[in-house]
Amino acid sequence: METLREADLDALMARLANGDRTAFEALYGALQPRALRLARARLGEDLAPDVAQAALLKVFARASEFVPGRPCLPWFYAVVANEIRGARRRVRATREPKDEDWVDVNDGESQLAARELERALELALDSLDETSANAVAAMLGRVPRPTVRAETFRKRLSRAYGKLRLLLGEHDGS
Amino acid sequence: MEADTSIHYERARRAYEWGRLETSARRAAMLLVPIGGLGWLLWGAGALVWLPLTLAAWTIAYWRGEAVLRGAWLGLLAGGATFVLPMSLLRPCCVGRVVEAGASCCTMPGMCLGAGAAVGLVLATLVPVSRTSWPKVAGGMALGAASLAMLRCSSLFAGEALGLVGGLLAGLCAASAAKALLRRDATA
Repeated sequence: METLREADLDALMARLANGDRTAFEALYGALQPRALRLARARLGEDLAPDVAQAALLKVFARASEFVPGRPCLPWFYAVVANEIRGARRRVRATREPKDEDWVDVNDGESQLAARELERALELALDSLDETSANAVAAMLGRVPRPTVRAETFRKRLSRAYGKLRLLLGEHDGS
Repeated sequence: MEADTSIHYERARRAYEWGRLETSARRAAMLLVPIGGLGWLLWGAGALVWLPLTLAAWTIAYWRGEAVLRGAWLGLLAGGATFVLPMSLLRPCCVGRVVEAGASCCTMPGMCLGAGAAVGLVLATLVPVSRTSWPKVAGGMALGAASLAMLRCSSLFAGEALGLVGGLLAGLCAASAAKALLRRDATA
């Protein structure tokens, strides 16, 4: 189920957004392992199932707001990442970090999650206009910074972040 | 573990339905602005009393989505058609000497029923309805038509209003069902 291609996921999410309930099962089957894998990679085994489930509830509660035609994975990972950040904040607030909280980022599952995240970022950047995409790519050090004034670059970057937030459904920090 | 998975799945499914209902109510509320404005302009503040029913109809249509929502948009046309039905047609005995003499007008629910059914039949015959989705499309059309026709009812008596909306819905459903049956026979 999880092996569905990105285009299939986009189509399934678009159908669900339009009210086609028959798309739910396949979509749940594809997204649940992804959420769990990322949560495990970032939080460890103890917290991962609850955080993944909470993220999935948010994803499906907001599925009707998904805009058909946009890529599903960047939006999905934005929700999951936000839930993971929230869980980390809660853990930090209640106790000191322990050794077992440390997650091995070199294990296979973490690497797979990292690859998917990277791909989701690519998809999100592909959805931006060229100027915005270049600004973010320059910020990440992937391309040389354009030869414009620092203030202009900051404005471009700010606009690009705004567009990304819109694309990801305003989940950052919400 | 399997029970856990099943519980998680059901929770996600419920989250989807509740989220969808919330989104639907928000979208339906936005639609109330133009519909309510039109009703208020044409029929006065009395028409706004019916807006909660319009809101409910569109919330259901958005919530179910797909064919129901498509049908609701088409039904909105039928509801709009009731706006142009003249009072002389809906209440024909309320003209001429009766009014001049200052007598109160009679009510004619039967005329409203007939006029509503005629509008519903005409509209439904113009709409492409597939074999599998016709009950959903017809249901959606009924919701969309009722959502607007109800505002028209504010200028009518209760019996006439019921007749108009009932006729419209009956006409839409009857014509949609007939079209779906004819198509099934043709492809069988």
